[in-house]
Amino acid sequence: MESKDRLFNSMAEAVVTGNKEAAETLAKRALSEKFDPHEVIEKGYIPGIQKAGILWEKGEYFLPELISSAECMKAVMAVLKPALKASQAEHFSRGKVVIGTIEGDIHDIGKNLVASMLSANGFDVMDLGADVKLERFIDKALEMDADLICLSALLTTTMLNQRRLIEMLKERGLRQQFKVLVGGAPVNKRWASDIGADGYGENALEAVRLAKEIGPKRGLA
Amino acid sequence: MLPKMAEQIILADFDFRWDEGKVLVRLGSRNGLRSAAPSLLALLKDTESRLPALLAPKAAYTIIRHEETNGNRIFDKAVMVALGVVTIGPALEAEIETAFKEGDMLKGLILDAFGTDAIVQVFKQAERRIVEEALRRGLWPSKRFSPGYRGWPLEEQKFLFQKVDAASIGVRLNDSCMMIPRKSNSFRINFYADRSFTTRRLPPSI
Repeated sequence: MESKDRLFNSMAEAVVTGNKEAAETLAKRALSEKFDPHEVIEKGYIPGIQKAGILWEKGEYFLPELISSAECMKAVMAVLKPALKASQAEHFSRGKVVIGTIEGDIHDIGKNLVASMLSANGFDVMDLGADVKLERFIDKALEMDADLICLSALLTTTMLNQRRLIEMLKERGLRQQFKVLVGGAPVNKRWASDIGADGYGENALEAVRLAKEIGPKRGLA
Repeated sequence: MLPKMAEQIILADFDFRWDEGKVLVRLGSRNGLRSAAPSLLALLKDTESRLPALLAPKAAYTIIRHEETNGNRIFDKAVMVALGVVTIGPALEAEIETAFKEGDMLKGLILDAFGTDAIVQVFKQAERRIVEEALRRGLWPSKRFSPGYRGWPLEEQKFLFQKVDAASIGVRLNDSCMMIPRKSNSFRINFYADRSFTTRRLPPSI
């Protein structure tokens, strides 16, 4: 048990320090020792990405370090995926997310960060890119039976489309089917509340926290 | 018949000076190079070496008389107005997009931070020349302002793009008044007859 805990600690440490090679090696070792891949992710790697997030929020880490940790998570998931399939825990997921920068807006760095952090934290993420038509968000959310729709906008002119999407969901009787999170430079809590969104993420980690709180209809919240 | 456009100046000779510490600050670092891991520094150096092939800096500007403006109050008291657009071209942006598509977030972010630094450098160099131009004309230049900031609505981009042939440097507006390529910027500098109208700091000797 002790060695298992040590291994989990090393996994977390590899993610915190952004050491992709070590993170992958440890994941392979866990598989060779027949550990439950689900437990490996939950007890080994997730605490690592969470700690990296805390360090970023405290200002001890800056963006490249946080991103390196997220990239470690991605690499680890690639190693563990076949084992997850074999153990029928393939659907290790905190929830399904459709994300994109809203119609009319071409900025996507912030949205990419949110998508990456959601993915690193165990969400299935479908990133639709930038300047995404409102209908496409809805069609994709229906197609993949998403839990969450995340909408990014950088301008006061394009944030209006966040409201429009929520109205469209209502018109189609789909509002209760998906939670809607909004974000972007001109967006704030008040705007989210005014348009009837389910939440506002001020930054990538806040979006992850919110998604965990309000998102999943199923899965591992 | 379309109204005759004022003469347009195109600039393409820009120098870049890179400060990796500053780029790290753009990425959220509080103390620049001091806290950067060696692997990150290596990545910065590598990115920097590839920049010359990815940057095609250009600026286009025109100087119009107040009567040629659209009467917006932001032009009040100006005798003349310089309107301009700067860009670093589409290649760096394409590289950023590829990096994100390939899942290389870190590379994309670093390229983006260099791109932001590059457009600021182009902006400042173009601005310096316009300020010199104003002073040559015996006028006092304002600070530089962009649509979307300080009471100048973003929709005013349309007017600015009517006056500046930005297509000649490869920049266009989309329906939301955003510039494509994204690493572009637009601006105005008012020229005043009275020095007291400007808040720009100018050497006292002028």
